[in-house]
Amino acid sequence: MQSAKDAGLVRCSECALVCSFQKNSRCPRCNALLTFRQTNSLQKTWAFLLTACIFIIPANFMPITVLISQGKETPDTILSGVITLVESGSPGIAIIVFVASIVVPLAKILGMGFILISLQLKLNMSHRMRFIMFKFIDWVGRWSMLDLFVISIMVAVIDKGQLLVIVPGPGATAFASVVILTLLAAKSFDTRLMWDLEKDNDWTN
Amino acid sequence: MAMNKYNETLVACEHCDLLQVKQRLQLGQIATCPRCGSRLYFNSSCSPMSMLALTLTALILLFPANLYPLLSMTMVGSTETASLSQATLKIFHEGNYFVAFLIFFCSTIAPFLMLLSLCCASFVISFNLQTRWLKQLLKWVDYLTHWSMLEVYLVSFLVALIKLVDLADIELGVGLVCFCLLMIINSLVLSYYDSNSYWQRVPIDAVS
Ligand SMILES: [Zn+2]
Ligand SMILES: [Zn+2]
Repeated sequence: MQSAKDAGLVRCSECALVCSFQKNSRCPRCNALLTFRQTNSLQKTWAFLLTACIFIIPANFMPITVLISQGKETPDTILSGVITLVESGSPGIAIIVFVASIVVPLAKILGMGFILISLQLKLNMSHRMRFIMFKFIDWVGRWSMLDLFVISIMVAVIDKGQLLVIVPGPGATAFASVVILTLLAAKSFDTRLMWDLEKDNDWTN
Repeated sequence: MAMNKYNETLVACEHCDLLQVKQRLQLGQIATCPRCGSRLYFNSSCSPMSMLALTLTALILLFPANLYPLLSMTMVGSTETASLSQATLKIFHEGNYFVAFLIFFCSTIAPFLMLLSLCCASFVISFNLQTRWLKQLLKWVDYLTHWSMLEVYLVSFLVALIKLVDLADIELGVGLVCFCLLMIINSLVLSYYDSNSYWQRVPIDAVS
């Protein structure tokens, strides 16, 4: 089995046309710049991932919503929201929210980190396994938007002026940043690098 | 500018770069990569004309899905209704522009622009029009599908619903029906959209 790169061919990143490679040349069909691999893929992925690592702390410890009832403010973090759900007798929803907003972002950061490290240390591991792991991380990542959507709906319906209002807290901003950063991390990771390991290819372009 | 030689009979896997010769497929058949198992190309049973119809329907549904109430809620004697656009506007009013924009983008703008681009591209291809915009439209479709999160929104709505059931009397609205339909058509569009055959309709500049 031969990679296109080894045959001196390059797949256009935008329109998938297979072209012969020349430095700084563009795709004859869509005019995109042709490169064998995404430029600086690993560096970019690390950068997004590490930034997400920082933001995940305020996302979990700062209040994601604040309930204001008759002037009294009750802040809720992601975890305390989940606990309230369990106590109010809806463990199913509690599990969904817990998985989508705590497990998924954390697993995504750890999983991507593991893939990157195993790639850079050239650990001996099935490429297919690593790829399936990445595919899963990539697919599951979008579901962490769930909590933000839920908050937007709750904020909209629970609005009784002085009586009862819910507003998003600073944790929501941090959480939104984590979601975007992990999505960008997955997007800037070039999976073809995994198979490049078989040959001692350079990763520069 | 030097233009590259190209070879339309070859296909390289997006995810593992495996090089292969393109085979003719029967209608509805899918070619998968033998090395990593991802989808290489397929012969969609949905013509650009049907795609045009699907995307148009979705675009029309998008308006009631956004503007009509998803639910109305009776609590402490008064009734509140909430539509998708209202839900986003509220967060804008609270002053959290970043979160509001992200929600607005993933639930409304990205699906809308993605369907609009695909609708225009299908129109151009169905009627064999010549336009330099086709490339750009197809690129937009590709970028925006990642950020279009209708299915996540629907599940979020169900989660919010179960949270609210205990607090108040809830009545589901017309907007929800439209939103469900929109989501179904959107997933049909995504599974039938054959980017390869669309790209093949983009004329290639002569190699100089
Ligand atoms: Zn191209
Ligand atoms: Zn492959």
